[in-house]
Amino acid sequence: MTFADVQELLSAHFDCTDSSERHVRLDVELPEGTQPVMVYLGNSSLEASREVVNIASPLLGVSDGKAYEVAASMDTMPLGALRRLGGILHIHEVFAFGEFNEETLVACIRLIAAQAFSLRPTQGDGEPTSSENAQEGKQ
Amino acid sequence: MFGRTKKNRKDDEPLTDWDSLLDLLIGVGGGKSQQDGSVCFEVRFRKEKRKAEVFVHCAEVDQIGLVIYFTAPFAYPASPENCAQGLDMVEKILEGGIVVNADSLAVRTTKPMKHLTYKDVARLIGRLAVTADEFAKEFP
Repeated sequence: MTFADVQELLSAHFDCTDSSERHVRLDVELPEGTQPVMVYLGNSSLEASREVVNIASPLLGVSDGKAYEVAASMDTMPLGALRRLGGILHIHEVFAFGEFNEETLVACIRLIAAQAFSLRPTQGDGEPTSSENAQEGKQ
Repeated sequence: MFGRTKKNRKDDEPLTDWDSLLDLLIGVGGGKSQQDGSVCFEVRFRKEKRKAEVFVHCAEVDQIGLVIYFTAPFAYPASPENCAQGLDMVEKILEGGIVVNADSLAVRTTKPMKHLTYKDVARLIGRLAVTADEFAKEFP
C-alpha cells in the first residue's frame, strides 16, 4: 500500500477538504459533530527510515494552557498521545505501512477524531477550527 | 534482555493474543507483571549507569481489536510546567506523544496487535526506552 492508496481509500470513507502528495485533510462526521483530521506521510524515528502514516486531530491552542489537563485525560484513551503541531495541540498517532489495513485505518481515524472531539474545549473557550497550521508532511 | 524463543522462533510470527505475548514478555523478555495487567521493562544503559522503564499495556478497541500501547515515563511528578517542556521535546522526535501516566510525564505510542511480532514489540520497547532516557536527561 502506498500513500496514494491511503488517500484513495480515505476518500471513500470521509469528506476530503484538501490534499497534496503528502497529506490529506478530512472532516470526520461524528454523532456529536464534525472533527477535522489530517493524515500525512512521514518517516518513523522508532523504526529506522520506515515510511509512516501520521494521523493528527486538533484540540486547542498551546496558549490556552490546558496541555497538562488534556495529557492527563489522554492516559485512559487507547489511541494517540499529545503533540504540538504548528502551535496547536493535537491527538497524534502514527502507523507504519504494513501495520494497518483499510478497516483498521478508518477505525483508528474515527476513534482519534472522537477522542479529540471529546477533549476539545467548549464553544468560546479557545476552540480550534482546523489544523491548517500543522506541520503537514514535514515529519 | 528480549531473548529469542529458540525452540519455536515465535519472535517472527504475528501476535494473536495478549496471553501469548505476556508469556513471551515475562518468560523470555524478562518483563515484570504489574497489578494493572501491564508488563514493566527496566532497560539499563550500562555505559551511562542509567535506566528507563517501559510499560506495555493491552486494550480491546471497537473495530480495531487488540492494541498494544507502550508508555515510558521520563519526568516525575508531572506538572503543567514540565508538560510544556515535554511538548517541546517530543516535537524533536518523529512520532509518539506525551501523556500523564500515574503522576509521571510519559512518552507513548500505540500499535494494533495483529500487525506486530514479538520482535517488533522488543524493538519498540528498546527504542522507546532510549527516547525516554534522552528526555529524562532534561529533567534533573
